[in-house]
Amino acid sequence: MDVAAPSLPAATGRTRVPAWRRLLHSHSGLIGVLLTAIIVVLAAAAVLGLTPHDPIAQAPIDRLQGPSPTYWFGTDQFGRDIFSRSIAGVANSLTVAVVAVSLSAVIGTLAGVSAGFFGGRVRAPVLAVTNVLFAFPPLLLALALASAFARTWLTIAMAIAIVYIPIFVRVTRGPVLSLRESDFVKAARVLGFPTSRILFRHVLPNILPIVIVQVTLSMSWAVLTEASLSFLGLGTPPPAPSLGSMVLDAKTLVDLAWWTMAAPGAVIVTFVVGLNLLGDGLRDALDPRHGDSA
Amino acid sequence: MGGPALLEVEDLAVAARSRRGDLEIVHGVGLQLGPGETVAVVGETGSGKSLTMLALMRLLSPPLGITRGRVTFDGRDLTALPERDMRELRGSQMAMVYQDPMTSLNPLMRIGAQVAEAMTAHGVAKSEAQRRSLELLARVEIPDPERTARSYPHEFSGGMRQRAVIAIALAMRPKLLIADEPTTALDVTIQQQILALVNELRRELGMATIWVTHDLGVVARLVDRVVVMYAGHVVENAPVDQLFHAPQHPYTRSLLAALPNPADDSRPALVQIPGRPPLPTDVVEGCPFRPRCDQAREACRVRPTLQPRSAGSAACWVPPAEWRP
Repeated sequence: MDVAAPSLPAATGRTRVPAWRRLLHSHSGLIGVLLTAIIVVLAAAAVLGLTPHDPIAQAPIDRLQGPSPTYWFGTDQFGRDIFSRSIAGVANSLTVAVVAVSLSAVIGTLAGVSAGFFGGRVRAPVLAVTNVLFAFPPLLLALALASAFARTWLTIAMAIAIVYIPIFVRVTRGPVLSLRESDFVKAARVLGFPTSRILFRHVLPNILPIVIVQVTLSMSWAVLTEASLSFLGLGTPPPAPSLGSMVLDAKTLVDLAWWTMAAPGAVIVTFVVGLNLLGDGLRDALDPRHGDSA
Repeated sequence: MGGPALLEVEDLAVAARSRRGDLEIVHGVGLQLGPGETVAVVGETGSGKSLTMLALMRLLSPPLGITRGRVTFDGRDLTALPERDMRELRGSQMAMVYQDPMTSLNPLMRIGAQVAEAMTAHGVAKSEAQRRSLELLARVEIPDPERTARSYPHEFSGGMRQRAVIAIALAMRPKLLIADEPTTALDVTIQQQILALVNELRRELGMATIWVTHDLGVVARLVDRVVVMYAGHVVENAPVDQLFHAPQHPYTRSLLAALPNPADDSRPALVQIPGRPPLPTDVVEGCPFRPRCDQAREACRVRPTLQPRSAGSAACWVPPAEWRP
């Protein structure tokens, strides 16, 4: 049989629009990036001590001052600068959220991937634990865990991490189940690749976008959970500023000084909305089907 | 076929295991393949051909498993080989090309990296693998390999992807290539190119090849022998010429009659075999083809075994000379 050598057109080598460019091209992505960036920059400034006032120093003379050029967001009942406290609070919340979400993402993803890839013996215990954890309302579980340990930011972070592990197990297990049956994973087995290689080079990279999106969304929930715990008096221990405990303090003062609640509330909302928009934007941007053209 | 066989499958049975007992799907298949020989395994969907191929690469996943039989490859019994050695063999000594090139490549890895990985996984140095992957891409007639090696699968057409898949399969110069309907998902014109390419490479590398297909016409010119499977049994095994000109099993004859032949006006455009193949759960007494066979008679209530028939063998009690027209 003689078939002339085919003259197929060369792969055109279209330049792939990088994911971050697609992210910035969508409205929600752009707004999400901006809001998140503003908050993160402010938090970083607070960590470096670049707050306009000391967030902990009390100034009784200046207590319950309204917003002014000196105190941008006003002062609380001890005369502390609310703006400085807010951004220092964001820094604390962010630390807790980052540690909590990193822990739950790593543990949850590994557990979810193993439960999806290896059947039976791994799947059953992982899913049992996941289902038990899922049975609790998240905040209640975080409350129970937070009150069970000594109150430091690290134990708070760990409590929140445990609450969010099941979510990562759930979101990764399903895709891994179908990836395991996909032709290219089967092909990898036909080619005699070791299981570790198949897992880390062929399965994990393909679920990474899902994990990244889930990390962003979980960050916003973790910030909210940390604020809720602090509001209930079980979060970041005082006197370290925390958005949740600021709202708690403001609860009795809000009739007298509305700014005491407005500032930390606005910061929480900005941060959470920013992270959610970023998550949505990332979900669209990381979809591999949007390979070419913007 | 002089010399020892490269692949010898004896009485291989595959079953789905369950607490209520085994459900046998492939019933004792036998197959022999010399070095460099080409065989087609033909059968309808569900005849057990793909399952047999997965079984001989030991890639069945539970509940499916080999329940009986032996697979000897290059002098080694694969059914008794430790998984480690088996993995060593897969991809280096025996390779497989899949049906659907659209899904058999990792969408997140560059083509060149995927070809190279097939070699590095078997101990080839990275730089060497990279150099050879370019050669391979050129060899499967992918234009401008330097650039295409840096492309992602979604930038390729179906035919190009199948070429890449072939390059990956052949990267370690395997002794046996199993091509599981490698052209079903492609356009007819591309099909011919891919078939010709694999055939050419097969000759060049001296590879033994098993074509798995449901389309007799596709492989007629490419193979030495044809193995016809029906409902998990081998019903005929014959040199390709004999199979086409003097089929020894009524099922083979019906399959050939079902091939469309536009030149022949004396019969309907499409001929079909009445009925449908039995499911693994159906109990057919005697010959599995009996319910659909136009030659069935009393003797067929006893299950026939493969018997020598001129240059091949067939599992039928009734020699063609006694067939009703």
